[in-house]
Amino acid sequence: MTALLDDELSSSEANSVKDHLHSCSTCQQEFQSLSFAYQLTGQLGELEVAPDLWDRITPRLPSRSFFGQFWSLFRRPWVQATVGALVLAAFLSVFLWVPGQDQAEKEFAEFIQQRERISAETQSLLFSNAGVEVNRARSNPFVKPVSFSTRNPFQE
Amino acid sequence: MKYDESEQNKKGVRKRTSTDPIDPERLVRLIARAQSGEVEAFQLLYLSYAKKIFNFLFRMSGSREEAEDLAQETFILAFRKLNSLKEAVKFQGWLFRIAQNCFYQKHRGKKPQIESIDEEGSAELSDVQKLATPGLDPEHSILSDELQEVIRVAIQELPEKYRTVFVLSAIQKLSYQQISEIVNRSMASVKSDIHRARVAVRDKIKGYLGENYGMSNMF
Repeated sequence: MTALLDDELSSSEANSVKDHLHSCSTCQQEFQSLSFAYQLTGQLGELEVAPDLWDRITPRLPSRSFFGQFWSLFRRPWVQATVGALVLAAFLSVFLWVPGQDQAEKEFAEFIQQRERISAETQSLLFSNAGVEVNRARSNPFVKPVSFSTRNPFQE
Repeated sequence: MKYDESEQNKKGVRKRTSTDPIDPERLVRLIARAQSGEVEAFQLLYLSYAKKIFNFLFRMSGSREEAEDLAQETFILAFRKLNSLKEAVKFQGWLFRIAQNCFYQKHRGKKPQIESIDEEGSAELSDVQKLATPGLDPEHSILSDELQEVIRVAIQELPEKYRTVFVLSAIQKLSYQQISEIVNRSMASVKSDIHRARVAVRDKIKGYLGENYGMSNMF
């Protein structure tokens, strides 16, 4: 009966309770009695809030810390989505893009080193066999010009 | 006496009309702003819910001053804990739960306090009540005030467990589901307590009115 008065029953439940009330005088009296009390409690007025209540609350409201504000901002869905996208992009760039680039650079550096090494070895082999000394500073005008050995290795 | 549905409607048994005073989208926006520390947004929330919370606390405590103090505590605590609110649409229930906890914390081990309406704010209250019951002649108005005092005392004398669910149901017009979430108890337990409280209040009124109980000319 209370649920019927509180409008908390489904239509079929309400109908079955109402059917019973039509046929049972004891329950009908109880229902009427409860219903009357409902009407009386429904007549209780509401008090108005004191106009200065907010003024008493405001000074006691704590000011938010920087971290608190940041955390509140982070709770917004669009901020979470943006941060998520940035983290994903960073993840992909670290694990997919950068290693590929490193590998290419490494291979290129190795190739250059190898080429220089071969070139140097070839030069040293050629010049040492010919008995020729190459002055590295031959283009420098303050240093003695290139000098070749006058000794003929084939005349010994 | 035969049960007549149309008579119930005529007598004005109030349907539960209590919903959130703010539409859900606006509520979510205001709460997000208040969570980031905007006091102006929180003030708008306060303006929408203060009357409900204050009247709930008034019916629980029976004292206007105490209800104001508890309402203050409720809103200050709500602002502090706003970030812990998971679903913005459940703000009203969450606020009632804070108010209930504030009340319980203050009244742990205390007997209910009953103050006469005549002692404080009687003029304001009776004006409001007269507006709420239109068409009363002076004689009935006096009777109505007496009745309201009887009902008020009857509510105050209910055990706290029953009083909370009774006030939330009969005065605040919340659904059983909402009440169940606020008091953190099963629907079955809430239903049963509301019924017991209703019967207890009815018996008090009946005891006061005697043979006049159920007379339609009371209104």
